[in-house]
Amino acid sequence: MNRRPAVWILKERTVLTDSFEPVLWGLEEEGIPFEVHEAGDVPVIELGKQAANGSPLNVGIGISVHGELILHHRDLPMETPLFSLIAEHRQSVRLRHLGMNAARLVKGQALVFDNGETTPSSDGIYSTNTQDRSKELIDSILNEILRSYTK
Amino acid sequence: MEQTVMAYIAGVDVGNNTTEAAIAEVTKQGKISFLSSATVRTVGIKGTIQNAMGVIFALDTALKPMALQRKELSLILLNEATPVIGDVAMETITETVITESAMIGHNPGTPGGQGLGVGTTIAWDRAALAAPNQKWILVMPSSIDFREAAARINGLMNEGKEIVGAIIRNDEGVLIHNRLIRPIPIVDEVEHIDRVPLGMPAAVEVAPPGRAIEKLSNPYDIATIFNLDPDETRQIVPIARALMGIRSAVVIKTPKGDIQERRIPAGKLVFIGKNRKVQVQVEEGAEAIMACVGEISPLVEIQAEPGTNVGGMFEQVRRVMAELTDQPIQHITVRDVLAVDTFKPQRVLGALAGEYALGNAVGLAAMVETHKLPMQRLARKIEDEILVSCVVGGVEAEMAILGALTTPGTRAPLAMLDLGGGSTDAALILEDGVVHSIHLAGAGEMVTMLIDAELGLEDKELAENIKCYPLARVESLFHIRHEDGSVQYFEKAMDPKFFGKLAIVADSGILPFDAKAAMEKVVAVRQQAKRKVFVTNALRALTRVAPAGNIRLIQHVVLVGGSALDFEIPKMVSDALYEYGVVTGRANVRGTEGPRNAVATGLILGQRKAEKVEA
Repeated sequence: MNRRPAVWILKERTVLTDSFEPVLWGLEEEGIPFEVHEAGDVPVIELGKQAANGSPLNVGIGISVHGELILHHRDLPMETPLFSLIAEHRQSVRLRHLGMNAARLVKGQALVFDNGETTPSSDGIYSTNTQDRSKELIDSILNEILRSYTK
Repeated sequence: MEQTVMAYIAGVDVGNNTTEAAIAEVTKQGKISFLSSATVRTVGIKGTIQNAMGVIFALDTALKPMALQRKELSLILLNEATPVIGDVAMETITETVITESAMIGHNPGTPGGQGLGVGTTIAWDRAALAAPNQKWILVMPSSIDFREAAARINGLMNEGKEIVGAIIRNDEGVLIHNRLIRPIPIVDEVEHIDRVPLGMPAAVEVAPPGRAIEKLSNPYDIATIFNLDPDETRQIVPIARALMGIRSAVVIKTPKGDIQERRIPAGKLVFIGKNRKVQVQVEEGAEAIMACVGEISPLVEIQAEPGTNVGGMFEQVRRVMAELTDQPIQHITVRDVLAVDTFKPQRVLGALAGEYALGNAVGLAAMVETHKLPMQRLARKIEDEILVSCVVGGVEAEMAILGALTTPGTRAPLAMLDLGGGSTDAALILEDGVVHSIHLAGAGEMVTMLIDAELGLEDKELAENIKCYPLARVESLFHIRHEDGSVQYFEKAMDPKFFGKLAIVADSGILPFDAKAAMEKVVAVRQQAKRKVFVTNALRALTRVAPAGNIRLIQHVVLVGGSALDFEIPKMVSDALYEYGVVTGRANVRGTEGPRNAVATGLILGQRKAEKVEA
């Protein structure tokens, strides 16, 4: 089989390409080719892992019917993907960053981070972004306080 | 013959950074056997009462493995600490100023297209009015989506308008480029897009991946593009220099556009000798300053101009020393300086994409010396605290060389280099036991300052770590590549935040950090900083203590002090001294302690000598 070097994106059959386009733009801007494949309704983490295992570049993205996204790498255990993006956090810029990170993972360049992405914790070697999340919370509280002052 | 224990004695060396202790057992016959040693951090500035805490902690640490109590010690010997403190400062002597933004030179990760485009800058919303028989460079704000941008540029091209390049705010250079019917170079991620002058002749250049721009980094190519006369060409040299080695750039010619490399007056240093006085401007550079240090001998005092960084630093060390020794500040003088030429990345004033240019700078270390540190006060304090008699032992340099001589394979005459944090000291012991010693400004702290400045870190702790440990690059989630090219794999995946970054391989694990520079550059800066300080000072110091000022007449040099533990400094010093036929190596005090504990060991040995003489 002729396998083109590409990041694989494995989406549940009914997911529309339009819904995750920014992921593709992120990959494109970073100059890494990708292929979109379809799969049945399996847990998103498995989609991500299957995509990574299938990709000649060892990097894959899984997209579930609920809009959840997983960035996975062939060398990582199934249960600990690199990033997962839940449906509430899928703003365009975050989708774009997920695509950029998939590309940078291939290129060996430092990744971009923003709030809301979580890296699952396993034996404490992954840092979860709790700090970022609490920072987000603090920021919103601060904003509330400031707003009440300006009233 | 039965050897009964007569006493346990301790030698303690309070240094700038560490407090070291050695404990020995002395028999009736006067035989000394060393039992243990310890190294802890110094508490407070060397020579102050606060040191007592560190001293007691060092003793406890050393006593613990032998299950001895403090009160079982019969004597504590304290070093006659050299009354030397050093400090460092930096004076920037050039800066790059752009008036009327004339260039954008930066390294976005992914610019679009490649090649050179020369035309006139035009705002996005005015593009429809662009004349057809002229070349244009589009300037695009962040509000424009890349699909819209590409469609519009294609439309303009179809209308016969010559769009030859684009300057954009967003990180979408590749995305736009991939959707164009005719490729153009696109410089993206330009932070201050609103400040880009419009209606002006401009050139956009993007190099292929892995290459650096060729045209806009060459003053004569810029002259060719903009029809500059020789005078104007001279003026744009700083632009070309600032754009060297990067992948994409924009140069815009504005009527009053000007970029200057400005020299900043940095004040002067005055060297006062026994019978003459020499002045030197700091901006003349390290070579001129060090020439003065060598020229005026013996030096009595060095003064710096008040109101400059160096002047402030001089004032600071003198004040600290005055407070420390309870002397009026007028009596404290700066006795030595080490000047080093260096670079400091500085934000270009008036730049459009937050560019940095390397400004020249001079790093200076100064050293003050006085007669005696109040170590007696500290000795009394320790006596009060732990009820063991405590006396101040011999001169530090003599004790250190006595300790250094316990290194297997050494004998007098022997020279010792003490590579410390605040100062570099040298001592030479002759066959008859006479010791010459010297203290010079500039040591480990100066290396840290140079690394911090040249890499633009503004983080002393990070600079210190870069100084102390080798580097690696996190190449995948599971492996790092060390600076020597070797690869290390890990069982478990690393934090994705580490991925693709440079990391310090510390004893405690790997510490990733954000570097603007490549690994090779960081390594080069680190090694140069070490050479500039320690190799220079090793030669300077040994020349001062060597017979007839000739290093070749010294045969053996041992290295002691904290910086002798560094993973590359001993080799650098050794390489430099090898040219003089000198055998150099790291001391191994008592055959067990490495370059540490020389003074503490020497104190105990020196004490026995003194007692024998008395008897």
